[in-house]
Amino acid sequence: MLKFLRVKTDIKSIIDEKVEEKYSLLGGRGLIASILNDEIDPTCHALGPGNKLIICGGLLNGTPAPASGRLSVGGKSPLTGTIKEANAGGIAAKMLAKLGIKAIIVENQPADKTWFILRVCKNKAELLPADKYLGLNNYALTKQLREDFGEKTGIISIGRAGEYGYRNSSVQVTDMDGYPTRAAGRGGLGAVMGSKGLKAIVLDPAGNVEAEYADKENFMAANKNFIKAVLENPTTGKVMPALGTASLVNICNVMGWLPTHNYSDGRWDKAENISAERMVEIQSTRGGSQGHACHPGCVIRCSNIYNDETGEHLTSALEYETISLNGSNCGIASLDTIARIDRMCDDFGLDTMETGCTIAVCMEAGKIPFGDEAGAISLIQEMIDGTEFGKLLGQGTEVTGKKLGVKRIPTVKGQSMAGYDPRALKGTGVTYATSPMGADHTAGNAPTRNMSKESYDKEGKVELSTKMQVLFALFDCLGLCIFAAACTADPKNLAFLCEMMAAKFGGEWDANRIMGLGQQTVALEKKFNQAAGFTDKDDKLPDFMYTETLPSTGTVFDIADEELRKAIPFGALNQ
Amino acid sequence: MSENIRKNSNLIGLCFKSYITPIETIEGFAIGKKCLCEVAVNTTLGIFILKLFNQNMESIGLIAVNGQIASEDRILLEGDQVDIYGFMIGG
Ligand code: SF4
Repeated sequence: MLKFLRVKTDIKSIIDEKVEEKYSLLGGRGLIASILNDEIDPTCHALGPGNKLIICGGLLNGTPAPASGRLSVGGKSPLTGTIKEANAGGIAAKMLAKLGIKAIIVENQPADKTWFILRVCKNKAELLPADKYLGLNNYALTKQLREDFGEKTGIISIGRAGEYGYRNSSVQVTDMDGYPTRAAGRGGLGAVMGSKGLKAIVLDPAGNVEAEYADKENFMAANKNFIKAVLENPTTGKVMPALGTASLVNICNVMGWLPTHNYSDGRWDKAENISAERMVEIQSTRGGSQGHACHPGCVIRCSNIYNDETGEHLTSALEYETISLNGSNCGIASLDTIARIDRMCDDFGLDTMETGCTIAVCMEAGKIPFGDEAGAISLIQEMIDGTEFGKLLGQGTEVTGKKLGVKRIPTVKGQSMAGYDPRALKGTGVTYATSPMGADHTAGNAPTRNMSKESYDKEGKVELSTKMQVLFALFDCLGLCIFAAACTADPKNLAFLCEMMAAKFGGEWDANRIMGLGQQTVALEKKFNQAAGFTDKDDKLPDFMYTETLPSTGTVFDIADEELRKAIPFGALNQ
Repeated sequence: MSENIRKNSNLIGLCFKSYITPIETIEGFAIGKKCLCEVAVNTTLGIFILKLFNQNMESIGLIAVNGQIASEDRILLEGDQVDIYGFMIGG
């Protein structure tokens, strides 16, 4: 039986809590949405004592389901003021399951402003002073923690960005090599963790709790079929392990939605230099690899290891979003420079996506020119050094852009967009506008199946986005990587997932019931946002997306507000 | 590969890259790796793709020639770069 670990930081107590029945069929993002609605005032200050930080795996965490070790981190976001779930790989989620923990709920704030480490072992959880670790960034911090608590410990931590309360700060998770490379990056949850005085969570690897099943044999049989479906999908079975998400660079460039020079264009003549194909060439000369799994049990293995010029590990998982937003969007054509930016962000604890967009608005404002690699690195260094300008950058793209007088700021609800220009990829534009998370592709990236020029039309995109928002929310509830969702376009494969749910939890599971988990989650998130003061009027893209033609496709974002409102409306829970 | 060294003047040379494995063997093929191949003069993109992928056509998400979305009736020309991509998921 899994339990909640409730950490009261004001009185430094930890309570093992029985999971209430109403939460038993909730996991990951759905569990977070439910607890936040039940337990916090949505109008609270995100960095005040009223907010809670929730860390959990999904409903299939602890099972051998493929890519089921995703970690959900949630709370009210200091960046957007909305509800937020950020999702990371790494080894922590599976360890939580082995330790018998469904969720860690961190609440209140230490009145004496002390910092601590939460150490969780098989039969014991304790709060330890963090004096020795304070001020360390993630690489040095996790190295020290592994030295102190054992090489195989799993670590969830913040760098100094989280300590400083930066609204673009991440929560980092160690990977299978012990590096803090996996990020719950979006929405500034690192600052929420910092506001609780929590520098790191150290998970002991000796947990031995086994997953319970209604019918283990049936689960294993259905799981085998689902794994086969994931591996037979050409993208998740072949392209991802060979080239990773960076394979999207050339695709997005051809389609004309690769963000370029602060979303001024969607096609870049230097895209080849930052492509996956180029990365593979570089790896062939200095080591590093593709086909790396970010957590045990991932059969897709889209991650990679990127070494520096001397062959030393520089970063892991140099991903499409980081590459496009710090590459083409900033006019930077060097994978080495982008990898260095990725390393700095993971180390200091910054969202790479927010960082790339913030650098690009600085370039638009003329602080540094587009393509200035050293200038981009120096802006990140300003955040690390905590200069006045660095502190401004740490508030994210929107605050920085406004302060610098930039008119073209690519944000929704205060969060920067991902690596897809919504004037061309309109389904994703609908998601950016209407997702409860702010501009977020992982809330429902929505390319059409056949990527022709039809993608640029507005027809059917609200429906497509709605479908993808629900599907991705479902996968975030199950704790499965959203990439594993690709094969469920075939209903036969979704049926395997239903069989797995029935064999794990009992009862009848069909497509309606399983998709209902996703629907319920998004509806709960919208309910939270509504109570926090958000309305339909907040569900829109920045003005320039409606008025400025994207040169690569000749399109603008032309989906009217009334149409956008049809994508998972407020109050959907009551309908 | 230029025309003046081509043995069969009824063939043209293409640069080919695919994220989907073709059913026909192409020398030097690997996912995402550029390789060279020859096709008959006046071959359309549609015919070329059908020959290489046949029953596997459903796996194709995007076809580009020289970095631009191309239609199936496009006649292939000497030196064209043909790129075949699967479906986009993610990020
Ligand atoms: S597919 Fe990639 S991101 Fe998803 S779990 Fe596997 S390695 Fe991690």
